[in-house]
Amino acid sequence: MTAQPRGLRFYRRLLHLFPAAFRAEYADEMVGTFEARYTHAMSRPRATRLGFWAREFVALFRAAWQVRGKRPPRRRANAPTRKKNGTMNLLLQDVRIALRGLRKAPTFTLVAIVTLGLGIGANTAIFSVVHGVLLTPLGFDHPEELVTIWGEDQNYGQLPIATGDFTDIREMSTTIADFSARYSIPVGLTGDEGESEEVRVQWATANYFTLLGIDPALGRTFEEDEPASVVLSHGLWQRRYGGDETVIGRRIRVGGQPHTVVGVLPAGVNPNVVSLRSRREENDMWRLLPQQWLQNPDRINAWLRIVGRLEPGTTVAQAQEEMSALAVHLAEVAQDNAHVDFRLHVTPMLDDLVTKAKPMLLVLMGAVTFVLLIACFNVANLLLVRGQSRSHEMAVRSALGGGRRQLARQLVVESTILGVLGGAAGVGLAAWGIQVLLALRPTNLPRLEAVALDLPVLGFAFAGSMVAVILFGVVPAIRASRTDLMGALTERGTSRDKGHQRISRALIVSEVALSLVLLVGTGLLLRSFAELRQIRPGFDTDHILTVSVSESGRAENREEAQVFFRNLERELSALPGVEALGFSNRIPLGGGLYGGPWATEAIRARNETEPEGAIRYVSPDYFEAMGTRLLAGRFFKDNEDWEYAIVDEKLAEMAWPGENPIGKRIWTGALGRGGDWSEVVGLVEHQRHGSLSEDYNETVFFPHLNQLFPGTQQYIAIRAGVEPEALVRSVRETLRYIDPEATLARVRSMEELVGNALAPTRFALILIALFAGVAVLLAAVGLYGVISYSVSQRTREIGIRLAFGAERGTILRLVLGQGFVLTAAGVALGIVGAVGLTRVISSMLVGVEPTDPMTFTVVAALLVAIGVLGSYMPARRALRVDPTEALRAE
Amino acid sequence: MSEDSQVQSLLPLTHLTYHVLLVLAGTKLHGYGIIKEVYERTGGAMDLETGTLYAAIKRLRDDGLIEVAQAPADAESADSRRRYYQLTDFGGDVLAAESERLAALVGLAREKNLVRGAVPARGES
Repeated sequence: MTAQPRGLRFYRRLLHLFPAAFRAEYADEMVGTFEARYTHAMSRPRATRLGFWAREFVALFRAAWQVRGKRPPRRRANAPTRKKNGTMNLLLQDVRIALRGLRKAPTFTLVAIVTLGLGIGANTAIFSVVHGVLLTPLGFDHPEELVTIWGEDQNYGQLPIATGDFTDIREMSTTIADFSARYSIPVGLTGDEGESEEVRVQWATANYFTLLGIDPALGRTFEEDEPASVVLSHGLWQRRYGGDETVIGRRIRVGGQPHTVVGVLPAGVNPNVVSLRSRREENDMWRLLPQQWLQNPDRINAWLRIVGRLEPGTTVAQAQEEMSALAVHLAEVAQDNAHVDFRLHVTPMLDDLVTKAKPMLLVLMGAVTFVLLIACFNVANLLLVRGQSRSHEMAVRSALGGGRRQLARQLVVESTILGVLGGAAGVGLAAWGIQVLLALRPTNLPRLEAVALDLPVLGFAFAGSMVAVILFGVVPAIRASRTDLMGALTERGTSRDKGHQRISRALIVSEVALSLVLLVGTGLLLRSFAELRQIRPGFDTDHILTVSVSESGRAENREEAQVFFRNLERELSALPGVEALGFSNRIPLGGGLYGGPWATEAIRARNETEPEGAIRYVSPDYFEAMGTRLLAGRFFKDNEDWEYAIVDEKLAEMAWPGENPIGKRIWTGALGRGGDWSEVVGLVEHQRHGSLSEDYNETVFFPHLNQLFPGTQQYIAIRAGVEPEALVRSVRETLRYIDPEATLARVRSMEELVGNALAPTRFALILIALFAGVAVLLAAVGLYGVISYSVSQRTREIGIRLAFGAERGTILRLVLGQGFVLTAAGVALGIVGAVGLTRVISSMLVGVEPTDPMTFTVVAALLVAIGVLGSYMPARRALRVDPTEALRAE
Repeated sequence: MSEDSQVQSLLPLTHLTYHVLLVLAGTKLHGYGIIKEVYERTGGAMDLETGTLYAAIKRLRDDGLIEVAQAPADAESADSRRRYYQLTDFGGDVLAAESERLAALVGLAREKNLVRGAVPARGES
């Protein structure tokens, strides 16, 4: 076996440890010898490559030290002993001494390394997420030039763009070189050997891939005149076609229509860009968004998601300026309700994608920094105590001629070694922590694929360790180097001791304060979480299964599509375990928007702008299946049409405040509908749609029959008498029985949807609670250490007091009082800090103020209790002081 | 300094140096050859790492104990990276002096009957 060329190259690189002159003379020879040795060594039994490398490695380092050691050619018998004056030698000596010292105090060393490892590890893990999500550039060509363009009007903070407006924007912009428009929907994929399934298809302009700079891995992308060509995502190609290259040219049916596969996208590049509200879609397939659709002059229906590439050298601010002017122009041209307070926003694509994740990640980064600070303070305290117990050693060394600077350097070297070892432990912890973080699957975090323990993250861990070294190492070093010779040698360093204790106490107070801030944050999030669980979102959250079903396109017309859905309803209702089921075009918490303007007779009479509400098309049993309560009137009946409507309490309050809405008339401008009026027959509670904590748009419900077309997709809510998951199989089989080409997708229980809605809060809560727990633990350990030390220093005093007849209770109060004062000072300081800092999490709070007095009180009391407990153990030791023993030491 | 005192100033040699000089006595070897010879003569007890050997080679050349030699005619390969080393005269003197010193030491040990299998010293039986 010969060494790999890679190994030889690596060995040659290692030779750079030697001086250049040595390398010039021996490098080639050494590589040759190394290779021969390797070949030979590997031929021996029980030889391992690792063992061989390790030996060669160590030998190389030692040899390099020797060669660099500027030793005189050979020690002469009568020459003075080798003088180590090189900085390197001094440092090496310091390192050796420090290592010896650390080995001699294994408990101290272990506690310090574990403490630092916790702090650095937690920081590194969170930073890896911050780095991956917020800082890593998107994997496109010149990602800094990519922007998204959104509209805004009086009703919606963020809106897609209507085709008419897009045409003008594209023609008039000079700051944006190229635009692509797109829109995604789920459709059924059939016509190949595989089972029919729902896939997400993105309609995109033909320049979409060139604009982003993505080349297909296989085949090509579609051209302007190819409306029936599709490009597959790498994921779909692998999953459904097993990575088969002959998939190019294959005919498949997408949404019932024949298409041809022309290309496959590469792995490793996420070809999806941001959709509405910082959401990134996961598309499976792309097809052409035809030009004739874009030529539609409509300026009302905003549905195009726009991405643009800036002209080289143009800034986002310049583009924004131009778009703001264009928005004014568009509003003037349009003169309609959709352009009241109309604005256009240009956002760098990365910013757009991480808008939602950013505040939470920054909060977590802040929280974890607190943990590192506390860890550093604890280690600083340990070093102070250690410095104290070594003051005798230091004084002796100083008396023997060790300079102050030398002593200080010695301590700095010791701290640095601790920092490096702590950092190494931290990286190990982080490697595991990142896995745990990713396993928590925070659904609100985009770009988790970019999270890794890579070079920048390791660099951060290293930098963090060095900052920690400065934080915990420098003060003790300065203090220790100011050795009071006489005091230490005669063991009477009282004034010095006071100074040391002052620093220790200040550190403990800071630790308690930082812990309090984290605990308050935890408390507030905990209350928010409880609040979220308490909220009634307008429907039941258990024993409901929701699925999406698409008609296969086999139906020729609306009547046949209705027959399909009616059959499905009948068959599914007959399944054992199904208590009720209903159809709807959207499911609460299931994502997606659907809405339109509505009006009452009064709004019309006053000639006001029509409000924009949510519109749902539902089957008669939908409310019963969802558990949404009827507040007045009745539900729909079979075969009812749009002449009847049901409104929710929010709409009723807006439209007819204080009146009974039943029998009132309502108008909506829903798609495909003229200007007919409907009679309100029912009033239901408000369903929260986007999140558990926020009210959604006011909603009007219509019977769904007229909305059922060939290829229509509908959600089904199934109220189950059994576990919802147990129904999935029979639902799937029933659908296949009715039409094997119809697709079933998005099978989710309502509990799962609620879980997803709780996920961001839960993610932040778990992490902050974890950090707070570590912080409190470290602070308690720190407090315990400081009080213990103080008790041991005061043994004589306590002894005298006991000898003079002091009550044990007095002594107990004395020690506990000391702990209490420190904790209380920290709590007071922490409350001030927390009042200032909890505001940053206000966007994550639900139903609780950032300065919630209850949370503050409970947390403060908890910390004081922990503080007293932490000083109780040392206090009991104080009580066991034997007066005669204590006095004899005098 | 006389040559003799120069020789004396280098003694005692380290274990490593002594073995390297010993395998070079009367022959020319390249780096890997030295490693192999030392390994075999010590029955595998001494397996020099590349770095260790070349640090020693540098020191020995600096001290003038060994020098680069012409490749022998029967060299097993024409690898230009392989350079051969041989003892200098001074190196030979140092090796001899160290060997004498060691022999004297062994003699002392023998008198104490510490060397197993050795002939007992005169006067004892």
